[in-house]
Amino acid sequence: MNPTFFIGWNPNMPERNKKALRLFLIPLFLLLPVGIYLIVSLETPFNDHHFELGTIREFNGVYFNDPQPLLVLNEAHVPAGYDREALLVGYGKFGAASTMAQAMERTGPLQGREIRLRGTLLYGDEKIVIELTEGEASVLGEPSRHMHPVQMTKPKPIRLQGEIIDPKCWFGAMKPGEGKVHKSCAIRCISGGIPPVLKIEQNKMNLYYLLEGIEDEPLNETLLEFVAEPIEVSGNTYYQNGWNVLQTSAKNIRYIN
Amino acid sequence: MSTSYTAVSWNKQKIRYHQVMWAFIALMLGCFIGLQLHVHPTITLETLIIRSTSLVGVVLLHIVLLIGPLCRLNDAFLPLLYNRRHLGVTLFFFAAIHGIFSLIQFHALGNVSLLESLFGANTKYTEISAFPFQILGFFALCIFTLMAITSHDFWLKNLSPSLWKSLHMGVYIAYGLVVMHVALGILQYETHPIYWTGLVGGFLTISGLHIAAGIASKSHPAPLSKEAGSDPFTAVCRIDEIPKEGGKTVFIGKENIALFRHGDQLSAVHNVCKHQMGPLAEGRVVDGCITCPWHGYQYQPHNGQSPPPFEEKLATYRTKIIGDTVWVDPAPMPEGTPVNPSNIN
Repeated sequence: MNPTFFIGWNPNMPERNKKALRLFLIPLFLLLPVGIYLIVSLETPFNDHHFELGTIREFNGVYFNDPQPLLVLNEAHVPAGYDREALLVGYGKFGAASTMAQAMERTGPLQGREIRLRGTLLYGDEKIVIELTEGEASVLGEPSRHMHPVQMTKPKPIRLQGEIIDPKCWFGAMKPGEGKVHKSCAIRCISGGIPPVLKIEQNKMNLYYLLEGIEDEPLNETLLEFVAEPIEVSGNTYYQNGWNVLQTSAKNIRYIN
Repeated sequence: MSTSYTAVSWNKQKIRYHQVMWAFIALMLGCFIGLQLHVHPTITLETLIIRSTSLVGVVLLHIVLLIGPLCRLNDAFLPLLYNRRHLGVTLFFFAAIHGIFSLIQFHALGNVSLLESLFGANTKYTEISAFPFQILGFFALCIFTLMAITSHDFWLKNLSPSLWKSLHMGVYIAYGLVVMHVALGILQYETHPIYWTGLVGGFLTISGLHIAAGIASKSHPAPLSKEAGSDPFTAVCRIDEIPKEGGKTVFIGKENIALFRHGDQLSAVHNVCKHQMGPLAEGRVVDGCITCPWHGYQYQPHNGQSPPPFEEKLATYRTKIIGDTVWVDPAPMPEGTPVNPSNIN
């Protein structure tokens, strides 16, 4: 007998329930792809930065502690159009300073010397970041005896508007590596020693400034409250080893908008 | 109905429900992942997982919340309600993937523990737009977890239907948390009006349907009159207001009573199913038994007892028919007490 009342354990469904289900489900199935198309097509585009997760390469270059641990790569390691000065970061959400300090206990001073490193490449926007994936063991062999000079320009005052990002995520580890959705991750990374970087937009291009204190001291902890917020920063800028550096302090930063 | 507990008592309707549900989810994931890879080829796998599972979770949550009021407004939608718990557990599954993956992605491998980072990274708890939205999602996931764990009839029986129901009303708190999680999270980054339209539209649809269902369920007329003197009977309706082999809800004071016509007889029982507190008067008399519209639990009209071997029992009420008017004594008899049905001329 054709039932007139729906009961879950009855294998037969009344016709009026079938009609109601069609009324509910057919529009749902038809509207779903349209809704998803709108959601996806209107999303903020992701940047074209890359993280070579799982691929460890060997690099040769000159190591500098300042303004942050970085390696001035030999030309052969640098993709076309990219700066040679690769920022070094640690594994996970950590900076490279403590890893390099550990390595120097074994190798002696590395400042300005040619060294070999193993690590994972992150790159985008003409900038290169190398993750010291294997920790202290990322530094291979002995450094050269010859020391290369530090290159830097004279500081000059500047006022900039932008957002503080952590360069590891921004240059490829995460997408998006900016804004509210990434805020807590960026705070964690900068808190772990990854250098804070001010990203500003100028003529539709991004420019990057490593942030440090007036006395060259790290600002990681004092800048946490400003991370991933639209801000204006004033201070003195200079250029050192391929990176713009902005010396400032928390009191010289204000929120905008 | 079942006399013993099994993980899932599969039957044809449940299998069909799952087929439709998973086809819907597969379509959603297929469209989302395919379009993401086409439109945004540089997206990372992690972001793809986080965003696709959040989409499935949010869409399923809206459907779960739509089903209740839809069924109250039109009982033809009752098949959607029958396995709503399965939809809820599936929603939890996707919410859990989203939550756990996000927790690892944004907080693992750092200088503090996962939970320390979750609650301590962004501490702007007093600001709206900068509020740490991830904790809202975390608490919503806690509620979904509790609901998913207790979704089985074993917990329904052991916690008692009223406590179980109260616990599962937590879905509304979870929904509020999810709405705020989305509004203070991704919508602070993706600012196109279409996203706000979707979120607000979903909220208005759900709240609008709940309000409409609430108004509809409150529209039961007051009792016609109360007999003077010591007779406790109250006139509640005309007999022709009760559909044949169907029920009618009447409220007398705080008593929620279901009147049922079965054959040429009239009986009254408590209007709340012992299983999930379903509205029995919205059910039918099938094979001589009052049958709950939600999950098909059955009771005999004259004594409120489930047919053996089942053991559920409802309170019963005395009735009488004078002319074409139905009278009910609102004093409930102990659960399972036989009461002679009133004869309909």
